[in-house]
Amino acid sequence: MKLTKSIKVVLVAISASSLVLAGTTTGNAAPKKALKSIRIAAVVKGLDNPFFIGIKEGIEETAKNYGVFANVQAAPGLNDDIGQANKLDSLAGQNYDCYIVIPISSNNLSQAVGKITKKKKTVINIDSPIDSASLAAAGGKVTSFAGTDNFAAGKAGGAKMVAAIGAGKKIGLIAGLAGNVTSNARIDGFKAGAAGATFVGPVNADWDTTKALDAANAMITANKDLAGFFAANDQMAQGVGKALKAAGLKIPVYGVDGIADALAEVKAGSITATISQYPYVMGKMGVEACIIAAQGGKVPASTITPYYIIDSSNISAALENKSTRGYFPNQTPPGAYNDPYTALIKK
Amino acid sequence: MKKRGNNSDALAKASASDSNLISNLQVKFKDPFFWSDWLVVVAFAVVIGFFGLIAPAEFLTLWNLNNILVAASIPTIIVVGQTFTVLTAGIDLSVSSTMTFGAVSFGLAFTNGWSLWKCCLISIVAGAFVGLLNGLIIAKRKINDFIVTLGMLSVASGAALVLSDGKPRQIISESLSTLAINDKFNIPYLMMVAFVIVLIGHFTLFHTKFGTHVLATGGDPDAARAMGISIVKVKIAVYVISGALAGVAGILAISRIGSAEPAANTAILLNSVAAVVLGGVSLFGGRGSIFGPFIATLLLQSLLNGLTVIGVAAYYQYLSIGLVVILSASLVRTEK
Amino acid sequence: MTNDSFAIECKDIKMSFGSVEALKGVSIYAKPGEVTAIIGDNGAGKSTLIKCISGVYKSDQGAILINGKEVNFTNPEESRSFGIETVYQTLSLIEDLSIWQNLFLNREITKGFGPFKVLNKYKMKDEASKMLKNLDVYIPSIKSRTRKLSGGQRQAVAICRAAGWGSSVVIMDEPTAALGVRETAKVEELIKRMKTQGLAILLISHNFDQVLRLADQIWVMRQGELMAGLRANETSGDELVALITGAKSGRG
Repeated sequence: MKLTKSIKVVLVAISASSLVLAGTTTGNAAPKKALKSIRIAAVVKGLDNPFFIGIKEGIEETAKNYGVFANVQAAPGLNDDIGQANKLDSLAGQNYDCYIVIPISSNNLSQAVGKITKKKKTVINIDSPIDSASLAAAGGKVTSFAGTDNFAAGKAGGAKMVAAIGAGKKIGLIAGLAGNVTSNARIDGFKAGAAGATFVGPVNADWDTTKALDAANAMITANKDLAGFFAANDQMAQGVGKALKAAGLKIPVYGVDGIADALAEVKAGSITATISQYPYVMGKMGVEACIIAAQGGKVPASTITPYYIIDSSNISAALENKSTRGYFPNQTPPGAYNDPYTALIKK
Repeated sequence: MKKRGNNSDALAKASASDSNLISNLQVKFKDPFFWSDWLVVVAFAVVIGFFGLIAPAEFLTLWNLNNILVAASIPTIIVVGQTFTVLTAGIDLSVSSTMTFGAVSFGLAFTNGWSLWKCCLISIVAGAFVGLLNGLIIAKRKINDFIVTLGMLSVASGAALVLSDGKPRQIISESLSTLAINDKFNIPYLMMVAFVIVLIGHFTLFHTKFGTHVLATGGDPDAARAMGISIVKVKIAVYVISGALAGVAGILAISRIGSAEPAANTAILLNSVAAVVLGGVSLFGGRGSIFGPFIATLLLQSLLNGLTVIGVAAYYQYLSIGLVVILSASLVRTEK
Repeated sequence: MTNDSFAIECKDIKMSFGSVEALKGVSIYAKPGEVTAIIGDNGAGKSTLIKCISGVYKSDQGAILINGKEVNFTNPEESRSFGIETVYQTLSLIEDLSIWQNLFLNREITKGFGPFKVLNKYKMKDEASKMLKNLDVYIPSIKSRTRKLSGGQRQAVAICRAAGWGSSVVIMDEPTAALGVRETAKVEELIKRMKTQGLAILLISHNFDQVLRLADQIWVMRQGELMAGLRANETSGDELVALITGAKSGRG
């Protein structure tokens, strides 16, 4: 009798302590939730750029696959930093377990994230990073960041272009919204990768096709010896492509993102290559990170999302459309990539 | 018998005054100017009622109403300035760039160690300066205000980029954060600032000589000139007001965003024009109020908030806002 | 006739626009408490003369005397400071402002001091009612917007404003040109009542019947020159026509 009693005591002690231990290894204090009761809210930049539509698709499809609820909102416009903060505020006051955010500037969502952190809800930051200093000042906490290493992506592009056009040539640079961290990283990365080349610009074209067209025209007129162009995103690369066509210039132009229109242009030849990002994968990772957190698991602090250079050599594979809604192709990279989140989700 | 007689007398009197009331109301409802004043209030009530009915647990919470007030603060300040310019039959298309220019000036001063108050002053003075340029060119050179302020939109925007070298400056300030995040009696500080400006604007417009002259300048500039009102001075003044208020809005934007951003926010401009029209201010000048556009701003922000809260996709949100504005503008028949 | 019995006297006014001589030396006068009409065909120079008197133009040569004293002004504000008020053909009323606001336009009464001057609406409304009452003009509510008034009512308001602020001369340019028969009659009654206030009324009108009904003194102009100065009770419509067209010449 005494033995069974002591065995019972030991068993109770073991299970109690394992429960306690399980609790302390979580990244946050949220209780475990069943999949179907998890509610996720997301605020992306603007839906006038297909890149963010890709993120939206990734979030919505992944949510559907796992059976969780997702509400994807977007800022009213690509430069409406205040409007985006308003949106996140609106959602912060509602009953969501987790928030996926892509800030327009590195600071504009910090206060809203602070409010969410105060409510002890999880925040996952994807694509564009929130500045850590302003986040800390607002008392905000980001559980996980998943985004492309824009510097590395730019660098790969720079190296490839120099390999294609030769050393010591002049390359035109078209940047995004002034002061934007993502744009700066890509441009700086490209310059680092394009060793020995000289550069014209960077000129800001606010992520806009027409502005990029105008900027490229000006550069072409002023520099007759331009050997190539790099635009910090595909929509701007499209503008550059149009300018080159109008000028009858056949020099390479690289973009970044991998949106459907750009892929079509790569196939047609008006854009030479795009350093494709995988917004669908980012959205997927965001949802998965949310689920892990809601289930009380430990979320990896940061993950690099994949990029691939797509040009005429691998365009056909990229154009395969795997979207369930037939939306657009190139959702996942043509090769393997690292998704540390999937394994951590408890079914 | 007597009692019944008395009753029927009373009834007759009552129905006579009732029919007076009804015919009075009928006259009022047929008057398009009645609607231009009251439409925005009715529309606002409809929007709140709509979202309150379909999602009371999410929309009608104190937290959410607080969000709406915060979101409406910056647009409110801009709209007061815009109202003054539109009342003179003008318009200020440079407000969003002026706001950015003020914010960037603030940022420059702040990172150079100036005191918070001086930085705020710089933003307002910078905004007023842009307004002064607008006013001088419009009033003295007699060039169309649409064109001048459109040009100034680019000039101020470019100046902001030059001053900031295209880079945002982080502004970390305890006081500004408190301003942006906190509230008293559930009214956010930001909205208190905005509301004070609304009150000052209302008072100036309806209780000072200057306000009457603004209405006269917009209503009939020839008549105003004939009575000796200096149209030039009035026009310059309203653009300075608009610019200075844009500078104030720039300070509040910094408090909310945490940095002085060099890129102009065009949504602010478009919403200010929408709110001015919705609020019953005639684009031909001379007729309007300050409270109308203020309520219209609250309406627009409530609409944006409500649609987000009930999960309407972003595409439909653009559509809804546009529809509301067009519908209201067509109902408000302010013909000249 | 001594000169200081004239509310206003113009001596030898000359005005040219480039090579066009609009006024070739015109001398007129108007007595207080009288309606003085200026008539003439188009291009006679009536409007130009009136604009010199109201300060819109500064005449090249000549003098203007108010109550016997020579005055100089270069803009309408200065002319107003000598008690000269004008009722323009367009009335210069702001439609979306109320009647009392129009009556006090640019002459608003304020209370308070320094930078904290507030409109004294109570006083203005009170004074506005008095201005209208002085000339027996009946408007149901001085708070209603001017837009809601009929043509005749607006004319009456504009006239009351001029009469209320003017202390020497009130100029009226075609006051009933746009009005119907009944409203014209009402405005003419109003003009007659103004005479009792001791103002000199300068009336420009194409309507000779009206001129003969209202005026005490008539000045006839033709091509920048003064053709004749007559007392209304000593002349006839036919004679006026003859003088205007030049069929009859000289001082009648």
